[in-house]
Amino acid sequence: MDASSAAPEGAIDSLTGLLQRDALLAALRDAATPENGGGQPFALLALDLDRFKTVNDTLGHAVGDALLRAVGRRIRTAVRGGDLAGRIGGDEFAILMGHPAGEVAAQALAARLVELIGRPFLLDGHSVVIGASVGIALFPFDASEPEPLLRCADLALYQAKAEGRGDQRRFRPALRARAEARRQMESDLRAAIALGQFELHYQPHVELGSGRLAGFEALLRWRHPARGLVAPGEFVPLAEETGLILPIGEWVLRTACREAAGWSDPSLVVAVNVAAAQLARRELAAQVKSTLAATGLAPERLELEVTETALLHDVTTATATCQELRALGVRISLDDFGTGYSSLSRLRSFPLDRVKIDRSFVTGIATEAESAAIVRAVAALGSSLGLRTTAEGVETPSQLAELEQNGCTDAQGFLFSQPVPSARVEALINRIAADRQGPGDKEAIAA
Amino acid sequence: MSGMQPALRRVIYVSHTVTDPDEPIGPVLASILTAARRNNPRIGVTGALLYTARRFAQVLEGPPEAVEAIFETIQCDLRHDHVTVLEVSAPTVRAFADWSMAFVADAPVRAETLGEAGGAAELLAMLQAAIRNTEAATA
Ligand SMILES: Cc1cc2nc3c(=O)[nH]c(=O)nc-3n(C[C@H](O)[C@H](O)[C@H](O)COP(=O)(O)O)c2cc1C
Repeated sequence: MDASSAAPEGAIDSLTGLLQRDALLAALRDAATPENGGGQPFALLALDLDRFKTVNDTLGHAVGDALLRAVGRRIRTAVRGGDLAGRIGGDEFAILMGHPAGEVAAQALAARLVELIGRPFLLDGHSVVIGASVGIALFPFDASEPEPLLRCADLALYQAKAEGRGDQRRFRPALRARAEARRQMESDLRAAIALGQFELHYQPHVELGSGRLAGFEALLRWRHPARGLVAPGEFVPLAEETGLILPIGEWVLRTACREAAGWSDPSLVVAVNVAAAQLARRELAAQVKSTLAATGLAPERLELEVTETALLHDVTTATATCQELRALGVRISLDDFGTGYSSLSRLRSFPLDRVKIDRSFVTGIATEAESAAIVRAVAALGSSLGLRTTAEGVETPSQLAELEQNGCTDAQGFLFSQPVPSARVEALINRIAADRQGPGDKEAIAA
Repeated sequence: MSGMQPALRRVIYVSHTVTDPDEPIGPVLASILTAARRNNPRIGVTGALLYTARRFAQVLEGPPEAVEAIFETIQCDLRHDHVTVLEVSAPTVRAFADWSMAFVADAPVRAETLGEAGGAAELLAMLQAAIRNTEAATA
């Protein structure tokens, strides 16, 4: 049952030469139904290309089509005589393995597919390397009905992609539970804004040298009715995947501006994190402008923190948006510097006011020469470019001393305070002011 | 200024042999070269193939569509893997105009240097020199 010979004419996808979705699903139903001559054990592979969208976006649809055509050919090269391969979505494929198709045979085919599709493609003068991830499900062990079996293969595929792509995974029942938990979390997250379950906590950043409080970074927290306070690391990735980060980001911006406008010291800056998806939209500047107008916060008091990855995602839009924002008077800072891919020289071309040095360098500054050297280099470059440099995650007085010596201008971390709920911001403002006036002992701040 | 030159494409890649190390490689090489010498002239492709220490290095040049098509055929060949493209370029002249597929065995390169940056130019020069030497010896 070769894909191209056994199937009726119309059932072949003309681009890839593989079965069309409906034909593959029909064959899957037959294979799972004893009355239709099926019921024997078989394997189902779900395959997805890893960087297809990037190729399509950067080299155009014609090249994208040529790539799919070549992928179709490579899949046909990899499969065995009795296997059926089909294209079931834009860049999604499925392979129904005929007999014998136990776990070993399925893994061997998956490895062959991953290897073949991982080889370079030569398209329109470009050498293009994509990759493929594969999920494996076995009939009847993983599921005895066609649709659930496809779902199992898909879950295994998601797992392969989540664990770094370019590899294969076999379905495990735990994946089903995990997918269920994710679905639950997604629907909870959808409801969270309306139910008022989000809150902002504020962590101070302090000017080195003077010890003056410069402002606060607004940090998102989710007060989940059953799970308690959930840290952003546990829900932000899901929010980004589902697009919920946009309404959440808007809420954060609005709330941070409103709360900061009420602080007793009108010189304090509030720093708000901006996600890649927000930065990629041209509306961000307009949204910030109307939020400032609505809350009465002066533009100079708002600082937006962007990450390297968000900037690199779409450099042109990001640069234009940051320029517009700075024209409003809003400041831009680059968050987690050192963890992404940007080089020091790249800093020059982005419209920035501040660089925040990632905590991983700060942690080692008092004990490792390399960390100190990196911090010193970033601080020196920052000062020559007219940028402020904030060290994140400062926990000890000796780190603080090193940072001052190495030329950082600002610092943030547990040494000054952990993030506090909105209601405790005023007390913190007073405490830091009192600490400055008291005997100049920095240890006292650590309390 | 010369008139309209037909566009040329050159691709240079390296790969690993996946045939059984205990089997002689001769028949595999013969089969590849027979196919190349049968197919390449029909589509205007010329080039050179190096086999050394279980690695291949190949230069393919000709009309862009023809080079891209034969390259894709070769990518689907299960007798090699770990394919790395070193260069894709648009040269003005062919480096191996007289050869449907020149063959060089056990050339004076270390296999490890084949995939390194800057390796493409070095490889090309080495293959051209090896072929000139062969021609001189047999002339
Ligand atoms: C390293 C390597 C280089 C090859 N080079 C060529 C080539 O230049 N031309 C070619 O037609 N086939 C080449 N092949 C063989 C092709 O992969 C394929 O087997 C052949 O084109 C099939 O030809 P046929 O359809 O005429 O039998 C090469 C294979 C390998 C492994």
